[in-house]
Amino acid sequence: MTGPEDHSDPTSTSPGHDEALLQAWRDGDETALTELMVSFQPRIWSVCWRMVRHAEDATDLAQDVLIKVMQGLPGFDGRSKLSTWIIRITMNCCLSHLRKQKLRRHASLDAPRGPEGGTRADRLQDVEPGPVQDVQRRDQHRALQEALLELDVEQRLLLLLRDAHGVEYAQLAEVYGVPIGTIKSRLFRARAALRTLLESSVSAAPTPESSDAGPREHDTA
Amino acid sequence: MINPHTNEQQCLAWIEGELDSEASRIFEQELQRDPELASRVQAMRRDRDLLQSMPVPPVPADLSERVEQAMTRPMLTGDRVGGPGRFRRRTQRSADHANWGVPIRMAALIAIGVGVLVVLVFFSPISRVLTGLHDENMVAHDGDVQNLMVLSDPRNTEAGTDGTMAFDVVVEDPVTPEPLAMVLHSESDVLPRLRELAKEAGGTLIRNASQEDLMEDDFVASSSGAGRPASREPSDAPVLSGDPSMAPSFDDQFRYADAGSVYTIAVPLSKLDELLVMLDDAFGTDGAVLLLQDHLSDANDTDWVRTLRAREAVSTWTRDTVDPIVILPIFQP
Repeated sequence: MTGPEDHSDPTSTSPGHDEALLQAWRDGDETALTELMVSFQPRIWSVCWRMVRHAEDATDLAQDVLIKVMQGLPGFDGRSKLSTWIIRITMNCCLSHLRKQKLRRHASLDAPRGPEGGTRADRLQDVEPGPVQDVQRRDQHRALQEALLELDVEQRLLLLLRDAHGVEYAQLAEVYGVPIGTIKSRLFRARAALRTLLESSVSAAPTPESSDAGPREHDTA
Repeated sequence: MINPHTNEQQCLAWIEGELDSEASRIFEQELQRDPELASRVQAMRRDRDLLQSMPVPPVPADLSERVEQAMTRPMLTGDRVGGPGRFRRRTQRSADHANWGVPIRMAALIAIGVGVLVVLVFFSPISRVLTGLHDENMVAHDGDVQNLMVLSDPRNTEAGTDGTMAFDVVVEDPVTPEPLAMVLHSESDVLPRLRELAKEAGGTLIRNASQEDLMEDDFVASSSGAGRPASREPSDAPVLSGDPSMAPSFDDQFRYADAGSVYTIAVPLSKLDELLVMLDDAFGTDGAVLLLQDHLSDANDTDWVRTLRAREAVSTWTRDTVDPIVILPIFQP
């Protein structure tokens, strides 16, 4: 179980152990699959949650990913690492989910919604507060969360996989099917875009008395 | 001064702390000469640190249970999956079946192939042509061969013989790709990005010929699309980039133009996946691929349903035997 302040890399824990569990399951150990799924749950969940920042959506997404993994596991040929394969499934599910939401938004004339459906307030309310060190740090995280939600979904995913989950360049290149140089270039663009969003949010921040949730001084770490 | 475009990988390495101490020292010396860039990359480094420290709520307690329930749902229809062990056995059986499936499919394909050959030899225009060669009373007219060639051209299978502009394409051949539509929710000039997209994917970008083009004296029609005089602006040329032989038929270009499409991209099926990935890259969620019929129909389903339907159709097209051309007229609603 991942706690609120669990920052361990959820995508690269003991790949040898994962492969051993997979082999054990293929050899007939029926508990190995359960163990494998349980070991991947925090990794999948954290990617899904960070992408959509909505508890119910993230749970649905994580469920979809786990089901797809279980359904696809018999056909997994081992040409890539198991974690790479699972990242790809997670990535596809997240992007598909966000695209669907955007298309639904195009087709719907409902009340104003956030970037991927749901109001911004709905999404941020779902953030577990966690034992953050101080108010400033919490504000920085809040500003970052808002900027991430504004960011292009592909860029958001790439940044999260690299920074929040520590996925190696080689693995990202394999997941995306592009050279490492392309990944680096995209990543740099994503960082620059995030920075621009954060800077613009600072310049557009309302006065403290008009908002208690706006991004403030996130750039002073 | 550091050029961020030529040194972005160095910046990235510094941001991520991947430069060794000497390289890092040199880089930081260079940064001192560009305070603006220094401030920016330092801020990017802090963003990264912040991202790494972002808290994540605990995994929902009921996630395993939900997955288990979803996996055992077929129990309601009599196909009990049970726990992971039963799932494993079931999928193992599926894998065993899959092993037998290859020879069975091959046998079925051979049988179908023989059947098709019999039909072609005895009942098709080929038989008339072939038998005509041996029959003194029959003459194989050039027209027979021409008709056969016209019918065998996949670009002509959609054209109505009565000259109508119908879109109700019936695709019986599973390897013939159904026409798609690329929908771009972008108000800016998309031409530069489309050029790049077509070029990178090894496809062809054309400006669809319209009925009005026919009224122009200097308009030249060719089998590969519409021809225009060289004096026109480059962006107004019919084939903007790529191989003209990939362009859709003239009739199709008219229909696409009538429906509001200015450009069309044509790619070999083998390159379609690459194109779709690049489309995502270039347009993000502002770009979608739909079945052409879906895009032009009045059906009351939502766009995301149409997107899924197109994706499902594309995923069923065989990519390893033949490499037909996929046509994607581009619409900007």
